[in-house]
Amino acid sequence: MHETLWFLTRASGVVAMVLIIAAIADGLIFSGRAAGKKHLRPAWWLDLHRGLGGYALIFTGLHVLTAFGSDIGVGLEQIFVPGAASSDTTAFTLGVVAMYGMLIAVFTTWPKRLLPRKMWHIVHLVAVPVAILTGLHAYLLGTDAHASWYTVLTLVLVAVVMYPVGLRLSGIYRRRIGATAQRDERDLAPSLSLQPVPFNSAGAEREAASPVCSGGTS
Amino acid sequence: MNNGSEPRSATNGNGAPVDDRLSRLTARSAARRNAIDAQPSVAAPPSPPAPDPRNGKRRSRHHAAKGSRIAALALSLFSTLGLGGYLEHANASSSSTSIPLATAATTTTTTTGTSASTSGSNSNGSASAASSSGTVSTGLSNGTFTGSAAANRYGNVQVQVVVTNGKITKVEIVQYPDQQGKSVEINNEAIPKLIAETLQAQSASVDNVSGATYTSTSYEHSMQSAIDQAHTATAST
Repeated sequence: MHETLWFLTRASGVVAMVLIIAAIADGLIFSGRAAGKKHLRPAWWLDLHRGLGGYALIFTGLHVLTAFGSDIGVGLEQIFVPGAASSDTTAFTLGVVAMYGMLIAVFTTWPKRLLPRKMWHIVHLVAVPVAILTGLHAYLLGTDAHASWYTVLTLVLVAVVMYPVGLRLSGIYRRRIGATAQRDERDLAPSLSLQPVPFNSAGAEREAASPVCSGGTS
Repeated sequence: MNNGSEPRSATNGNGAPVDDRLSRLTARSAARRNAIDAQPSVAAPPSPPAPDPRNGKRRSRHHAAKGSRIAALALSLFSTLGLGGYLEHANASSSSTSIPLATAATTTTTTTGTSASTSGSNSNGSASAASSSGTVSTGLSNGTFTGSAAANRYGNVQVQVVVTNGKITKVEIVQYPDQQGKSVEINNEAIPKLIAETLQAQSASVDNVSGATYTSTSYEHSMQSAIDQAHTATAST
């Protein structure tokens, strides 16, 4: 029984990591406005993102539970208290911190947003360090971290997540460039505009009599 | 604000409705107001979710990616089970290439009591700085001694030592963590180093092998237990 739980611990850890990466990639595609409009609508991506985040949390829970039950020397203290593990302290701590980060990312969003949107967005970005910490935790502590299939999986996950990261960063860059251009345009506009010309009959008569325009030279 | 057209009023000069439609609206509004006034002042209990007007069922939360979510969950579950099965299978196949174990001697077999009480022999492990945590092995009884099984998170380590002429001449492994392919791989490399160190130092105090900290620690404990038994046999003879 303990042996089975131990294999489940390893498998659920790997699947949880895949789900975390998938959820982040999905979220980046959605927030990067690359979700499309016709077949795979933004609502579809958002719904899938929420589902993947929830499943990642469920499989992380399964990973923790089976590790606790598989009699490999992982106790409650090591699971819930960062730095409590006597051996492999760094690797355990990374995993515990990542777990708390995931809890924060999920439960400030679901079942409903608990924070103002801007603050929620900042808090929600904790998912990115969570993914990095998860990867480090798996690399340092994972029994299968040096297996060839795991290396291939890691490369695939990195490739999968880099595309939406690029999309998102380029979107941010484009928006900033656009905002800067708009601001420059706004700042520049008053200096280029002509002075308003009073239009009345007296002014019209004056203009007709004088060759100089009020807004500049003729 | 007369713009030239006829003013719009609900009633004519006698208070009667202007047209039928307006009269119906007025009557409905009055009835609704009466119904509201007739309600008790206590707050009504929260009503259940409004039924879907199309089919009369309770309206559930709409999931735009319901099918994909179910597929993702099913895929995750199958992946977990499949990967777990694969790891178990891989472990079973790699265990067949594990290091050879000693035939488990569950009882200590002490032969003669010819202890070699050479100079510097110390049975309580406090004399030599080089073996501060171990026991200097001189003064051991000849025989074969099996240490206690020392557990770690990956399994048990148990050693068996053969003492000849008061010296450890052979170390065999009764059991070691071989439940995982990685453990087998690590221990195949670490255990020979630990054995070599023991034979050289004639002590349980060995340096931890890098990457095999758990095995090294458990090995030391089991080895110390076996050496203690050898000393006990010496003391009793």
